[in-house]
Amino acid sequence: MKKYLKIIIPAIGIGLLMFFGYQIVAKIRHKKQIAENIKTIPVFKYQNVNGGVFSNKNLKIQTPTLFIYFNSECEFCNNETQMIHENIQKLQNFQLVFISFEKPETIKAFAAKYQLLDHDNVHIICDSKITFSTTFDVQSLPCLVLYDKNNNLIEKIKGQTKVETIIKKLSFE
Amino acid sequence: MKSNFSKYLLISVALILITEITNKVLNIKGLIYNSLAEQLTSQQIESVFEFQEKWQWVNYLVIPIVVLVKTSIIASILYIGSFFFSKIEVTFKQLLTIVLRAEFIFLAIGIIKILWFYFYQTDYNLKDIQYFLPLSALNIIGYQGLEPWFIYPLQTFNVFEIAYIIYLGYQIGNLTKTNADNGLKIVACSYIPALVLWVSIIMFLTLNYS
Repeated sequence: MKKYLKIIIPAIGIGLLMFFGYQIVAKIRHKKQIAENIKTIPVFKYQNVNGGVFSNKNLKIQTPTLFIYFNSECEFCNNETQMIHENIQKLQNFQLVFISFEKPETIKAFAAKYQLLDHDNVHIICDSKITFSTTFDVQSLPCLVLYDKNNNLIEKIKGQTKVETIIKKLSFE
Repeated sequence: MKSNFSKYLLISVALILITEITNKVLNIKGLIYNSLAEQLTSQQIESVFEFQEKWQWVNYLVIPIVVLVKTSIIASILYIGSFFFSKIEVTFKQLLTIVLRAEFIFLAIGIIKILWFYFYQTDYNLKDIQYFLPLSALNIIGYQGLEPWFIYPLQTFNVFEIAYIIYLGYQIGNLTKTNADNGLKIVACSYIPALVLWVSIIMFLTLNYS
């Protein structure tokens, strides 16, 4: 019995170590690849709430961009959007892309609730193929992805963030 | 202090006290406030603190549970190691006694942390305190610019952990009526692989949720 256990227990231990070791190495490589891909705004093609296409071509050039990945049922996403709504005038020099994987009508109702549909610099987008979270390696909501006017990544912020902080980061040259 | 229960109680009380003193002396509440101020409104921060105060008793409950689970698991792992590599039979209770005694080594980390930030590095933020582990690889390298999944392995590689391993080896050597070398062999074949596995699991979880 002891002889068999002497083989089985180390084998389980080595097996687990190899499994986690492989997973860790693979995940680190994957994260590095994503970090490389999103250094500048990656090529994307989403759907706007009216059913049209929204891609990189719809973004204004020489304008800092803020992607806000949200869900209408998430409390912190609602708080974030409320803060943006209250400070929308201060954000006029930036373009805001609100993006969610929910149904277009749900997203539209959310945008209407915070009066975001009437602003030229605010885009409400539907990620129907759920690719945003994998492209940007997003694990939590809300997630803010900030790009400067040259489309270079400034920061990826997890969780709700005050508008003053966002403006400071987006304005930083 | 003969019984294991009194040792366990003393470690738990000491850890709770160290946590409370750290919170008060290093103004952790103020640091959390400053850290959250960039993200949340003052109203939200207040509700976070209200929630924290309401559930503070859970902290006092969690610490003894963590100590109990940790020491029991380590004693079990060492028991498996001694089952394979010791000619003399060692009981779980004897190993638990050694593990509980060895746990006192880690109390020094909390005490040094308080002294370090109170007397030496008086200008600090929440991250400095979270990531500080005296005489660890992380303290030599520094956490700035480091990916979050490397923090825990570098923290775990520290002088206290080495002292813990040596103490366990020495005591198991005495217990098995051999020498420290044999004791260290048992620790090296049981506790160290388990620790590596634990660090791998934490790294894996950090990678998946960060």
